[in-house]
Amino acid sequence: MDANERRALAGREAAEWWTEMQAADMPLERRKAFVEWLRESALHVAEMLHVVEAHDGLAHFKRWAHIDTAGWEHDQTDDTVVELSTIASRPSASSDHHGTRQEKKHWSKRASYLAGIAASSLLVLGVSLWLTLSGQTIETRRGERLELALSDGSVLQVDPETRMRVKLHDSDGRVVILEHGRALFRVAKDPERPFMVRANGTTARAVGTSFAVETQMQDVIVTVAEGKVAVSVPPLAGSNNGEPEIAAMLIADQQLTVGGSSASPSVRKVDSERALAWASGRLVFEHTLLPQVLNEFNRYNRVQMRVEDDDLAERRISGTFNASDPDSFLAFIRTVAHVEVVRDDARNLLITPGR
Amino acid sequence: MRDTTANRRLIDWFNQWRSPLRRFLLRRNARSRAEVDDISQEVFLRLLRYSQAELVEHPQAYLFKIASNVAAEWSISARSRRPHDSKWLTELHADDLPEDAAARAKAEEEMERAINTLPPRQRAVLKLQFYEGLGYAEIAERLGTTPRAVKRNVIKSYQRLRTELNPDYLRAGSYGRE
Repeated sequence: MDANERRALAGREAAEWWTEMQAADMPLERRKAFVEWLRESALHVAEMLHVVEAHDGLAHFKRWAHIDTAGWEHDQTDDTVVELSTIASRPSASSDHHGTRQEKKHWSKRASYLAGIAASSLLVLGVSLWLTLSGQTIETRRGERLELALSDGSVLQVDPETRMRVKLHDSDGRVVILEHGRALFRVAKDPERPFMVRANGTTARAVGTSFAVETQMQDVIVTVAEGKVAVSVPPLAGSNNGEPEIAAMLIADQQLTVGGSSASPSVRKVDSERALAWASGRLVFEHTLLPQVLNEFNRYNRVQMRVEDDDLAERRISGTFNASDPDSFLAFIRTVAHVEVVRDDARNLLITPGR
Repeated sequence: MRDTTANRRLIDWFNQWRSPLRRFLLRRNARSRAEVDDISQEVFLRLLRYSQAELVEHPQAYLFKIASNVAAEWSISARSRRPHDSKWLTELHADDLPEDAAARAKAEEEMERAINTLPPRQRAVLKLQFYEGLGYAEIAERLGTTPRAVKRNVIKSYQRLRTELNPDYLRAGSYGRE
């Protein structure tokens, strides 16, 4: 995590603390947590004071009458984001609902609980776990994205429908076992403890860098945004040597696919910003069939879109879209094709040829 | 929210802190974000000297009190470094600084600009909070959403304001009397 990211994270946490203390007197447990947080770093103190300063500005602002709030009913941007952060994930974080005691252990369950209650299409769960996260299972469902700050300072961006286990204190170093799905890892530098992501036997190993690992059927795709990542693959069957073999040393803007469909792993040059757009909630399509495009959107949203018409299913789409904003995609498709959108119910949309 | 004791107490603590900090920042006369950070570094070190048991009683009060002490001490030492600065004499006796109409207008403008960069829903939430004085639960009721969602809006808007606001304007203007 670089300085700006750390600051942004601290800023968010400070704002969370500030809203919590505004709403109610904090119980002892929360005050302890707050003190611990403050004493963790001077940055936390600074961001806390900055939040207070902004609050002061708002409290002394005299021209509220001139502030136009028109259109708030249609502004769903905030409802689509659920921030579940350090604070929210600590026990008794808020009195909004019960049963929070178990949540440190079971926060992924809680995340799905939130998924159920959120009014929105997309969940971005910003969860910071500062305590040991040994062998934690992280799981996201359809429509859920997760941003995690690990206690070592690394940040994970977890795509929907992903499952992984994180062991920060493994004897080998920091180990993530990606069972399925994909995630972007921004690894905090620690030469003593390399950061390893394992998927289907393939291991991507980094010291301090930013890279993504994704599983697709039997394939494992490693994409590097920054720094260097060593990728090793399982030894070939029948080989005497039981040691994994280093398949490649990847640098920024390189991608490697290991696995079933490609006989030998090959390194491709990619535009990592584009290839990893999903990590920041953007979907990039190039001449992609409409059903595939809808499928991608559906992974990120509660609203599910489909086409049944054969001709429409042959349409190809190019462009970059906000994954959590299917409406803007629908607006786009209306301009490029003569279509109508039929709403079966609140969550299911059918795209049909226009009459 | 303004009616809750929690909030009232918070505002009291916060007011104790505000004046010394502002005086400090203004007197330094070079206002950059780094200065709150300087203070914070010192506040942080002092926080470490207190026992956990002491701090958890009223952590917010300690935070603001320590910050105001640091700011006050530092402005005294800044003063003594330039004793012939004519401005400090008047300030020494005034609890607050004289209003500077132009600076205040500038601060209002800056605040308005920053607020207008927020999405409409966040603007609506802040307006209900600060203009109508509603608490999160009441705001939620008014907007047909949950208190949790309102909090989220508030958090988002503070994060945005943090990067959007130019503290130079803000501080210069908000020095006036209440």
